[in-house]
Amino acid sequence: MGAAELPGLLLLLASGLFFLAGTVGLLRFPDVYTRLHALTKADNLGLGLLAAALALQAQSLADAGKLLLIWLLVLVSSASVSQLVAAAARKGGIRPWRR
Amino acid sequence: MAALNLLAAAFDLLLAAALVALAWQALRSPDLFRAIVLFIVFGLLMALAWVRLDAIDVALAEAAIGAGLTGALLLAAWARLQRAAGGADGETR
Amino acid sequence: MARRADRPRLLLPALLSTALGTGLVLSVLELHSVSAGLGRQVAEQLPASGVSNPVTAVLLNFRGYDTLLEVAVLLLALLGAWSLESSRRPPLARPAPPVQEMLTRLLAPLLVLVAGYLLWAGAGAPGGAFQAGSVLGAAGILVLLAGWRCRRLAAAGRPLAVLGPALFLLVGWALLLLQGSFLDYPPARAGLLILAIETAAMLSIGATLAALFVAVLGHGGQRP
Repeated sequence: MGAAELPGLLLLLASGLFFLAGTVGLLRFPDVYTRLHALTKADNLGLGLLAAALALQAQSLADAGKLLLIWLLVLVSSASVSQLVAAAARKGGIRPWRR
Repeated sequence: MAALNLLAAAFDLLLAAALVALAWQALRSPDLFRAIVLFIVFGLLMALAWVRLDAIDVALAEAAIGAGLTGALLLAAWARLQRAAGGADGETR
Repeated sequence: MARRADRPRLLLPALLSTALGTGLVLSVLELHSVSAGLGRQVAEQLPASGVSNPVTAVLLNFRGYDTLLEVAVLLLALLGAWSLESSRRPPLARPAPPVQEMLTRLLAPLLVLVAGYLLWAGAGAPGGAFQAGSVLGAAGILVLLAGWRCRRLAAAGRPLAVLGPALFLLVGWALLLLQGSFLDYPPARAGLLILAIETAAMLSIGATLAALFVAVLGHGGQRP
């Protein structure tokens, strides 16, 4: 466990924290729209940090590129899907939470 | 490293417990939609379990078919049931 | 949890599941003391099988007959769905929301590419016909949900679904005529035969899964 692995370790820990924050948001936020925020923003950033940590340990540039591509794909699809879910919820009559 | 083995064993145990808990919840859930979503999550965790068992081909197939396609088919069937029931009453069982 | 009136009815299934679970756990714990199954024999025969991934070799060569039956079972499932549901064509095209349109435009070609890669890489790495076919089926479902109508592709649904089992059977029968044994690939041609069968199976599985989705979806709420 050398010092060269330290940045990867820190990135992994940070990614774990973001995923944890996203999950806590999913469990504690009051309605569908705020939960979608927690899911897409926090989880995607966590995934980006995870991909960065794995890219640091990747064997070749192609592998690092593939990890980056995975992150970008997840970004696009989760953002689009969350918009569609929110639109469907709106059409279904779910009102945003008010204090 | 012994610590890594311990961590792996703890992860495996947690995964197994989560699988059993998800299956129980999916079977005993009174809401059909919730049961379908739990089944999809079960499929994803099952794919993880296959990876832990070193069966990558099966994990790929489980993620694609078990979680993805079967989930889509179940949701389509659920939507059709909703349409047939008129969707007005809340009875989803 | 279980309603009070349900309890007596659930007792027998609960007992049986617990017995089955206990039996499974005990047999898995027993496995450690038993030697590795047929792994050594598979590894020995791997160079003669035409591929270098042991899973694909077992699925498509050593136990090819089982895979033929599996592909036929998929076709049977599709026939079952078609016998229950009269609509073969997807619901009328309706314009999808722009976000869904963009997502489908991005993902559908990418999924086709990934399916092709999984098929090709299945010879040496995890992958193969079933995984590639299910990715193709997912692409088909995406396209259907976005409301795209492609008449030629929809018309090709039935022939494509039959192509997999048909080609598999044809290869088996041809080998039966030429060599006297069903599905016994000559080692020199094994790789090529496996690739051909896997391609047909991939197209078949994709078409079958998409057609199953159309059958389950029904009229989509719109009468044609």
